[in-house]
Amino acid sequence: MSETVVKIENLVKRYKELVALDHLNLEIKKGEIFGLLGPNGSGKTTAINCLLSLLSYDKGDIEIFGEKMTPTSYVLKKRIGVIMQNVAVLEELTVYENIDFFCGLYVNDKVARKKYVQEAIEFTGLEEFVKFYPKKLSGGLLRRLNIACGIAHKPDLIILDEPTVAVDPQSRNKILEGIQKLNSEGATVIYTSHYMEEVEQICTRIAIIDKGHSIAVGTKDELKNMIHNTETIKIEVMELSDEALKRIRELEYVYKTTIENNLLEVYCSGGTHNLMDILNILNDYGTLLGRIYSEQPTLNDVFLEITGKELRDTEGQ
Amino acid sequence: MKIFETFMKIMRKHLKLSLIYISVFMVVGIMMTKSSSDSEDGYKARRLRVSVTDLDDTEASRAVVDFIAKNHDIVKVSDDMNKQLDSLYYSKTHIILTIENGYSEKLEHGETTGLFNELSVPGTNMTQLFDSQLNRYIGLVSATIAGGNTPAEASAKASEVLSQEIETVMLNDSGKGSEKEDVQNHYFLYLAYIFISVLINTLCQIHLSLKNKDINNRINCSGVSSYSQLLQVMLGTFVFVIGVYVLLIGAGVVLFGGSMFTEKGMLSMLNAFVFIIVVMMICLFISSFSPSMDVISLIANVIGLGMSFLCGVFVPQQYLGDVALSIGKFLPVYWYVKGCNTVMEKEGEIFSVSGFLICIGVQIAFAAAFFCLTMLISKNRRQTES
Ligand SMILES: Nc1ncnc2c1ncn2[C@@H]1O[C@H](COP(=O)(O)OP(=O)(O)OP(=O)(O)O)[C@@H](O)[C@H]1O
Ligand SMILES: [Mg+2]
Repeated sequence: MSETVVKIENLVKRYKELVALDHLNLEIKKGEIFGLLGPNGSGKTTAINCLLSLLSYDKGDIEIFGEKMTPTSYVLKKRIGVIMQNVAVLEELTVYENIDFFCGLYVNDKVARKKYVQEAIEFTGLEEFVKFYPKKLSGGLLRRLNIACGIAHKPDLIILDEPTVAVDPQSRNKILEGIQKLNSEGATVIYTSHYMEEVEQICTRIAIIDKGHSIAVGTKDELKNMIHNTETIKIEVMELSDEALKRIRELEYVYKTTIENNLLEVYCSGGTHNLMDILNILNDYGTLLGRIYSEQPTLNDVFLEITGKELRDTEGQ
Repeated sequence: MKIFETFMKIMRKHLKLSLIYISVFMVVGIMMTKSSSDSEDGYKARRLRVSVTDLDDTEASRAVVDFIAKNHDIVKVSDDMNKQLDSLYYSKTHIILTIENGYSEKLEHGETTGLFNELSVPGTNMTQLFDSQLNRYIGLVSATIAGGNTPAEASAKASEVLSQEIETVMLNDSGKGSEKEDVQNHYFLYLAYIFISVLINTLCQIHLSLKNKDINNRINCSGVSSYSQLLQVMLGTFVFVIGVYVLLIGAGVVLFGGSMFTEKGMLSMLNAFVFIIVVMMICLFISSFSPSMDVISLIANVIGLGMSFLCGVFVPQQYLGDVALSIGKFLPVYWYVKGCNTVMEKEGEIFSVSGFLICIGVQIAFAAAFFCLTMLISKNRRQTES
């Protein structure tokens, strides 16, 4: 776990006035599934494009496999597999032909390529659709084809830029499992997303990005330990006396409470399992209770605490 | 070579429309050549059937009969007036000519009226050619007699002079060679439209597929150098362009045979080759704007039909208005068409090497200009993107 695969130092990228990347630093080790988590427009795609030398940048250094990455680093490029945010396949080619084409950009030997393409098809579960044209594929299948095109040549480093946007949960799980499988077979993975659940589910290390700057890096537990909050308790209450609320606020681990629309939210720090204490207090005052939730902090809470805003707008998954 | 291979694959998918264009064109071409050989028969029909009765029966009058026999078919009809009219009515004969008694004598005295009695179907123009030939003949004979020759000598001279003249008239005006050349010239003119339609519809589509930003990103991420990418795409483009050229010129060879390999034919082929290269450059130029697929066929129609009409593909340049012509001069098709006409000496163009070279040169200049513009645009584009 010690070899550095990607090293980005002080990367600055401007689009005219807009600073898309602001002294971004990242170090990704061999064997990681490295998550880049950030809201829309935080600069994830820009970072990936700079990393791949698709974009020129204003300042900074990028090394991949210990070598400086430039637009003509063809040897380096051969070791990388890319799945871009936008589906990039040729409409005129079938599923099989598409995978064969993109694989053929890396693998010249026909026999080897045939095997690789077949494996990629099996890997993404596209066996039944090899003769289909992209137009005939559903969104989820199209995403899977997009992935198959990027990984068929068995790269050492796989970069996925939001590969699950607009994908149904079933396809999404298949994709996530696949990424973990590729990783277990030895590939280092960079995975960008604005879905914290996905990132939490598969990433071994995560960088949280905001406004082109990495604001926190670590495993998900490390990230969660960075913040105050350890548990959020939400209880539906019919009528809450001020006395009861006062007693709850007096608990030493409670640092914040809110009540809105009969929903009581209690923010706790320093540990979990605080629910019983609070229920006991409510019971003492004979409060009628509705639904009760106890939530561990999420990466959203981490983001919220560091930046003061939500990771994503109310958009559902 | 994976990009080249895929170029070809994509090409095959987009070929359908082009094949429709080409096959419609071929059918029209075949029909045109066919109708031209039909009108060859039309020419033969101008050899009229003439029945001649020689009442004079002198050396001079027999010379007239010989002269007529050279250009027309002499048929025999009976002397009976009714039967003569019948044979006219049923087109067994077109003209019934009687050489009056005293023909030779009258000529000797410089008289040129009352020499013949001519019977033909009124209201047809079939006899015009015959009459004018005969008039010219008589005119020549009487002039020669006035110069001091006997009627017999004069007749021989006149028929010699006229036989040469008639031959040349046949070649230049209404002969079979000329008709075929006309069709061949039209074939080459229409090629301009076909080249534009086929190339824009197919080439631009392929280029747009491969040069799509996302696809391009993907290709750029692979280990294929940008130099190799360019080379493979250019190779694919050339193979396609040469393919279209060979196919259509080949069809020309089938239709026109050996006349494609005469000097005129070869120059026409050269002209067409230069032109298809111009069209190729136009395609690259259009592609550099990355229009959408639907817009491409629109562009193909606008450019194809627009240029063809303005530059005299469908309407001869002679008949175009001054405005159209002066616009046309700024379009490459104009120079291609002018080149075609120059080679074939049609529409008032007279062949000269320098005239032809100017047409070729202007086309090459157009190709170079489009190439530079394409380079400029794609360079700008790269800069704004990064
Ligand atoms: N070509 C461009 N020209 C100008 N600004 C751009 C360009 N591409 C991106 N940006 C801006 O740069 C910022 C970062 O964009 P980027 O696409 O990297 O974000 P992202 O994190 O990938 O977002 P998303 O989750 O929506 O994919 C955004 O504010 C975006 O508007
Ligand atoms: Mg993005």
